[in-house]
Amino acid sequence: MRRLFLGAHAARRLRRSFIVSIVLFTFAWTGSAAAVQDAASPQPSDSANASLSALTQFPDGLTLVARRATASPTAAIELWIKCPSNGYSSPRPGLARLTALAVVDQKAGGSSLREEARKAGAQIAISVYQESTEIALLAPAYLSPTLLDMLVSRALHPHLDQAAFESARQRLAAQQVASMDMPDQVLRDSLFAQLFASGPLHDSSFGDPKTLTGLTLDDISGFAARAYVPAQEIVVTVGDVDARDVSTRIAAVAPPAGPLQVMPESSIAPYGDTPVSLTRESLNAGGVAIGWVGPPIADRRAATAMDFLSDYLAHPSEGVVSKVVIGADASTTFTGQFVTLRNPGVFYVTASGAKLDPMLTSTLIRDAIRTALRQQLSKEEFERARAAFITHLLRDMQTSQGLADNYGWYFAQGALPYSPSATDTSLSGEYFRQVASLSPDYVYSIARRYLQAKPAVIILPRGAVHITGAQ
Amino acid sequence: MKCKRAGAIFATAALACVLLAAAPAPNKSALPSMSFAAATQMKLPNGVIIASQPSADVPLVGVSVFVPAGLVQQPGNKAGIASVTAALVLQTKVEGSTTLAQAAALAGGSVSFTLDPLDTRYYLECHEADFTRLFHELRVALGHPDVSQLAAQRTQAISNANALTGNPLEAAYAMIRQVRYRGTGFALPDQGSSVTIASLSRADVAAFVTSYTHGAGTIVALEGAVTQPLVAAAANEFENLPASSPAPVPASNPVVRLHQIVAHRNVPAPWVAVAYEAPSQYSSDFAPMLVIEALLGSGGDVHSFNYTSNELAPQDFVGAYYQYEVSPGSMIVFLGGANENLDQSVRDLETGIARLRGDSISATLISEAKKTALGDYFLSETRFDDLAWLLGRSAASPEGVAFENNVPLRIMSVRAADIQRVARRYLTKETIAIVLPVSAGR
Repeated sequence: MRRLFLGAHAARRLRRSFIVSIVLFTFAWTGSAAAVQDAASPQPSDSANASLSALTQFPDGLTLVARRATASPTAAIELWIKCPSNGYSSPRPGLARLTALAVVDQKAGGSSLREEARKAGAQIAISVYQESTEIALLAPAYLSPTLLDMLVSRALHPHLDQAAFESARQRLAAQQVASMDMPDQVLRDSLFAQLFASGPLHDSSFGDPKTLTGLTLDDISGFAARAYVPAQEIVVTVGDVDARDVSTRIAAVAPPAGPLQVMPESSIAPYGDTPVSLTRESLNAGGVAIGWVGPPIADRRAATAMDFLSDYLAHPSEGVVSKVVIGADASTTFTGQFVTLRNPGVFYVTASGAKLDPMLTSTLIRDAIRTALRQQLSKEEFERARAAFITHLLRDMQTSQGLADNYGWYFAQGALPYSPSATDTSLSGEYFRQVASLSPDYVYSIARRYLQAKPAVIILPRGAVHITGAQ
Repeated sequence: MKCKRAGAIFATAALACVLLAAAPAPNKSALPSMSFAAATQMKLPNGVIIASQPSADVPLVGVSVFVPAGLVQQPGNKAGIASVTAALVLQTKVEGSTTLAQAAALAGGSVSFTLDPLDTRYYLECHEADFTRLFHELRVALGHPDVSQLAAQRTQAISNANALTGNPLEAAYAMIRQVRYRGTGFALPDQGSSVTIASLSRADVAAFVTSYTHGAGTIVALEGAVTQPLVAAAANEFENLPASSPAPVPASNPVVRLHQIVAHRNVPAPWVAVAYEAPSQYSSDFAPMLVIEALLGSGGDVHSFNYTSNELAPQDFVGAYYQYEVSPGSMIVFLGGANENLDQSVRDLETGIARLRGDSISATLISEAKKTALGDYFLSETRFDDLAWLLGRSAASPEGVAFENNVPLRIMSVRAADIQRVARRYLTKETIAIVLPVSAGR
C-alpha cells in the first residue's frame, strides 16, 4: 500500500546525544531564514476532492498541497522530489540519498537546515525511495511559516559545497553500515533486485560503499541540477497552517523552471520462484522475502484491490497471513505491503527472526496465502474486511505527517488525485471511491491474476554462508 | 469549535493558570500563537470526568479511560495485579466467544492498556460508527473482567516478567524505583514477579476491580470525530459508577541520602542510571524541569518506560527520562550501551548538573533549550492516543483542560533563575543504579 515506511520518522523515543545541549551548544538562533517578497502568480486548481486541502500549480511547474488538520497543533512540512535514487544515466546507487543528505547539511548563514530545525525545536527526516526523495520537517505549528521559508529557500533548488558533500558522505557511510543490520531492509532490497533487472527499482536507495567512494561533489551537484527542478517537486504542508500564506511564501522564492526529466524505466527480470539465497555476516537473523509483481498505478481499481488484499493478508496484527506466521513463532518480525508504483506495483512480504527457519517459513507463508485465496470471500466477511481496511487507512492518516506522506508518495508516482489523503470526513475523493467500488468477485479476480503467479523468493539463512544469488 | 491564535483566550487561560495553580505568570509577549484544539470537560454527579476535544480531520475516535488504580496502589505482595487485571479486561468475551480485543480488531480498531503510576489507562481507537458499541463493551469488561482466563494470564504475565528482568534498562529503572518509592507499589516491578503473580487469585482480581470502581478519579478523554451524541453515550456508560472515592494514594518514604545499587545482567556493556527527585506535572516547578530535561538531552518522553499491552520494552535509551506522573517525580539520566564511554559520560553529567546549579548557563543556551522543550512537548502529542492522554491529564489538573495550553506558556516564561532554583532544589541526593555485564563464573 502506498509507500515504504522505513521508520525514518520516529516522532517518539528519539535517541538524542546525551548532554549535547550543555556541552556542545555553540550556535545562536538566527530566526527566520527568508524574507517574503512579492509573489509570482500561482494558479489554484481544484482541491483534489478534499474540502480541507488546497492544490496549487505554480507557473514554473512546482506543485503545492496545503491542508488543514487540527487534531494536533503541529505541522508536517515536506518537500518531495520525483527522481531515481540511482541517478539518471549509468546506475550510481545511493546518489539521491547522498544528495539529499548534503542538501540538509549545506550551511547558509552559518548553519544548516538540519541545525536550524533542531535549534527551533523541530524534527527533520530524510527518506529516500527508489523513485522519490523526501525531506520532511515536523514542527509545532507556530514554527511552520519560518521553517517553510527555510525549507523552500534551501532545498527547492539547492547549491552544494564540498563541506556539505563531506558531511553527507560520512552520514551515508554510517547509514549503509546500519542498513546491513536491518534484516527487513536487506531482504526487501534483495527482493527488488531480483524482481527488476535494471532501473531505479533494481538498486537499494542506500547504495553501496564502493559506489559511494567514487561519488564526488560534481556528481551530487549535477544530480541536484537535474532532479531538484520545480516540475518534479511538490511541497506539502499539513497541520494548523494557512494555505494562502503558504502559497504566498512559496511563490516568493520562485525557483527557476527546469527541464522535466524522464524517470528511467525499471524492467522486470525473468525471475522464477526458486529461492535465491544470500547472507550478510553482520546479521544474526534468518529471513525470507517473497514478492509478486502487481498492477500499475494507472489501473486504479486493481491497485486499490491489491491494497485491500495487502491489508487482509499482511496487516501487522490482523492479517490472516501475519497471524499464521506470528502464531508459529511470536518472535518473528513479519511485514507485508503492496507498494503502489507507476509500473508495475509490487506486493511483498518479509519475515525475519533469530530463530526463524527461512525455508519452512517460506512454505508457511505461501501455503497461508494459497489457503486465504482459495475462494472468494463471503459477502459478509468481505464487508467486514473492507470496513477494517478503511479504519486501518484512517488510523494511518490521523497525524499531519501521515496525511502529508501520502500526498508526496502519490505525487511521485504521478497520481496525486488518487492519494488516500485527498479526502475528508465523508470519505470523498478518488481513492475511497475506488475502495467503495470493490466487490468480492473483483478482488478475487485480482488475487488470482497477480498472486497466483510465481513469486520471487529471497532467503537469508542464519549463520555464515556465501552469497549464491542476488546481488 | 477551534480556538486558534485567539489572544483573548490566551489571556484568559493565562489568568486562570495564575489564579488556580499559583504557577509563574506566563510572559504574554513571548507566547507562541498556538494552542490545542478547543476542549471541554464536565463532571458527572458521581465524580466521573468526561473531557472531549473534537477535530474534523478523519472519521476516527480515540478515547482514553483512566481508572484510579495503577502501579502505586498495588499491594506489596500483589505486584503484577494491575497488569493481570488489565489483561483480563482485554480478554473478556463481549460478543459471543469474541473478546474485547478481538472485537475491536475485527472492526479495524484496537484496544490496549497502559499502567501508569496512579491509574490504569485503557485506550480504544476505532471508526466513529463503531464507537458506541465498542465503548460499551469496554465499560462492561472493566467492571467484570473474565477471571476464567486468570490461569492463562498468569502464565503470560510470568513470561513477560522473566523477559523484562533481563532488560538492563528496565533493571536500572526498577532499582531506582525500589529506592525512591519505598512504601508504595511503584517501588515494585511493573510486571510483578513470578512469585507474586503465581499467587494471584480471583479474589485478588475482584479486590483490584473494586479498588478502581469509583466515580472520583475516573476520567474519560475523547479525541477525534467526537460529536455531542458520542459524548452523551460515553457519559451514559459511566453515570452509574458509585459516587465514592478510591483509597488515599500511599506516600513513598523520602530519600534522604545518596544510594548506589549494582546488579548484573547478560549484557555486552554496562549501563548506569542516575536519578534525582523532580516535580510532578502539576507543580509550579514543572516547566523549569522540562527545560532542564531539554538541557540534559531528553532520551524520550514520559511514556518511554510505560508497561503496556502493545509495545515492547525499550532496548536502547540514552539521555534524560522525566517521570512526572507520580509525586514526587524523578529525573533519571541513562548512560551506557556499547558505543558509549561511560566514565566520560558520568563526568559530563556531573559537569552539566554543576552548571545547572551554578549561574553559568547562557541566555542563548536557555533560549534554545526552551525551544527544544516546547518542540518535545508538542511533537510528542500528534496521535490520538497521546492527545487523549494529555487531555485526560489536563482534565484532572487543578486548571482543568486549560492545563495543556498553559504548559507551553510556562515553558516560554522560564528564566535562568528558575532553572538554577529548581536544579538546586531537586538535583541532589542522587540514586545511582549500575547494571554490569555478568562476568565469567557468575
